[in-house]
Amino acid sequence: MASFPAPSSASDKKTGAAPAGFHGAFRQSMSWLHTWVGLVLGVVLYFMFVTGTTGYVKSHITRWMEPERGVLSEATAKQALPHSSEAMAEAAFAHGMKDVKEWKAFYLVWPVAGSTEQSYSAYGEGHAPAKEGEEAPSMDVKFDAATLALQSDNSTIRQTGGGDALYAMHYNLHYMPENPIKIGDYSIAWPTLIVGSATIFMLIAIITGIVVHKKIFADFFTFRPGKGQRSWLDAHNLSSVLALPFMIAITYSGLIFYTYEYMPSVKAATYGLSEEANKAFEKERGELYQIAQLERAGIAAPPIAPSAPLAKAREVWGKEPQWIDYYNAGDANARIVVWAASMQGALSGEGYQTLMFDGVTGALLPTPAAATASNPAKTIGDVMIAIHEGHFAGPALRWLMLVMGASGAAMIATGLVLWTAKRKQKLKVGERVDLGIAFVDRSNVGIIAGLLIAIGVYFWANRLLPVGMEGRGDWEMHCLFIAWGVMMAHALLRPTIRSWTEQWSIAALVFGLLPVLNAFTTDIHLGRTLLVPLAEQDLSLASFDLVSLALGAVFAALAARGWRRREAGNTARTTQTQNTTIRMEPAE
Amino acid sequence: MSGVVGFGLSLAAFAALALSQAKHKRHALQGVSTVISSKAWLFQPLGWVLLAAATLWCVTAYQFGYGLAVLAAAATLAGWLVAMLLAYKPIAVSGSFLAGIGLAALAFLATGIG
Repeated sequence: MASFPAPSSASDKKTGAAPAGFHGAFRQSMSWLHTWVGLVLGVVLYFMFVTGTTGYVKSHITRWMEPERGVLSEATAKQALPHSSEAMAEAAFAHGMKDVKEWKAFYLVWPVAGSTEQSYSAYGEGHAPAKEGEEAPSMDVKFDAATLALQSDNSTIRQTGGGDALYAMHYNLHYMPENPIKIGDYSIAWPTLIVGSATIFMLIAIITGIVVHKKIFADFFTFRPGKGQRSWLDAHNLSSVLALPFMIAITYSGLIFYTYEYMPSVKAATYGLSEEANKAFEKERGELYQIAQLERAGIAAPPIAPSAPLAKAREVWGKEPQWIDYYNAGDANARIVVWAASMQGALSGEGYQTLMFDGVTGALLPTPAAATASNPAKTIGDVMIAIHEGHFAGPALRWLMLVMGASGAAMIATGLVLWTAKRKQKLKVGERVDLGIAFVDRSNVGIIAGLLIAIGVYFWANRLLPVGMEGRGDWEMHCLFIAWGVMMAHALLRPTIRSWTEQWSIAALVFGLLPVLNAFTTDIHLGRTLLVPLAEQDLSLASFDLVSLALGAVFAALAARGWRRREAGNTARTTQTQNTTIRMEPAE
Repeated sequence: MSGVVGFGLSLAAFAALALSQAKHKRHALQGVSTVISSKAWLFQPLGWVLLAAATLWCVTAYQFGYGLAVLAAAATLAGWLVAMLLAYKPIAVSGSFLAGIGLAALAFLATGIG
């Protein structure tokens, strides 16, 4: 472990490094913090950035992973959905009320017109269980927007985690236990704790990185390839500085997401930490979903069908509602909240429009004062969450956010490599690499290239696992982690330069051949999605194959560079051996 | 199309700012008229003005918050492009300045027509 830097040293004077005194010492301290904070949680952060970034295109990924849905031409996608929102809501609500007589909360979300999503979701949370020892009823299902049939009943569509499972890994860390850690009334889930710690470290690394980086403007566009450690530093600076506003926004907004889990004391001091205290807090904050949850009357009352509130909302807003919440459906105190989102408004705190209805009579109710009152803190929170999720962004901006997310992943990856490159550069000829540095150096390959390969394997698994396999979606994810484990083992067992080259070669094959595999196993290949007349193209599906090809090309270029360097190294060694032999000959 | 205007202006701005830096100017302005080379100091204020124009355009074409998000995305892409050109094809940077201006002008016209 490196020691904390001295405020000033004689070597500073010799090398002409940062001046001694407060500023020099401060920058050195920040540099130390930046280095170690980045290294310790770099793996988690890289994992979070790579998987989280896929979230911007998760609907494209899910569509590709459900090939049975077929091609949806741009022309068809622009048309209205085959069924009205009323019809979709009616079908899902009827399904929800079939076996459960009363829902504590019931939510329906359907795709907006023009979206390429072809399914819609229904979630239900029941009241207390019917019998002691049983769990309260719950529901989390998807319906086919075209047929209105329950998707799980539709055996023609393969079971897959899709883009959602890939994206969700960046905050649930997949295999982490869901049971929270409890300290008195306070509880926090393990993944939330780890992700939160990593995010705070990331924010520290960004701020200290800005302090350390003396020449932000002078080095703004500087990248000097083929210069060893210098090149890694340039790449690290470039990837961080160019996407700096995005990095700050995404990291800070990530923390805002779980504000009250990370900083419970402010809320606890006034309201307490119990579930009831939380409800009281959210009601006062003006959260309509909490305000609309009245106490149960305990009197059964048939809930109103969703058509009338939806029609009324459309009439009031002049646009399509996007989702509907039922609270206490089946009870006399039922409430309905209809929502519409405004994409651009999300960044000015006007992201949602809401209307509240009586869930039995269907009467439009006045919006409670708490929900309409000016609340700057809530507005900032809402804007931060909108920034993090990118819900405000249209398709083009989402692709650009993918580029910025990739920049973030590149920044972390280059930072990890830079740590070992710096230390290896300091070695004298013939000096052995320290075991710790060697471990980090080798595992970097498995972490950086290995994770990308593993994600590629996730897509291969989607195509190669039997369609009717039990737990298919789970096994896609198991394949991802098995592949990552294998790549980690490979990286630890092989010399670093070789493992980089080999893993980039594998990555090039995995991604480059993905469109080929797709063409052999489905009929949603580029021949059907891109190489057809313009009106029949499905650019959402085609983009997946095209990005795979582009990634394959980038990885192939990295692999080719590695192979060339190995060849050059071999040639140099051979020449050196020959020269040595020639010099040895006279002596013999 | 408004986003493309922002991207074009950002590209031209970053190319101008890169050309104003002594360490990039030498490689990037090889073979370019010495008259232009001698006036390279003008690129710095020009770059900042273009960047300000890109910001102003984005926040007026869209709402303030959304405009800033579009600008950040467009500027990131433009910045990467200029950096990669400087690393691998520095002679093309002056061309990217003109391309950025041209793209912004075309997109601006298309926005007006639309």
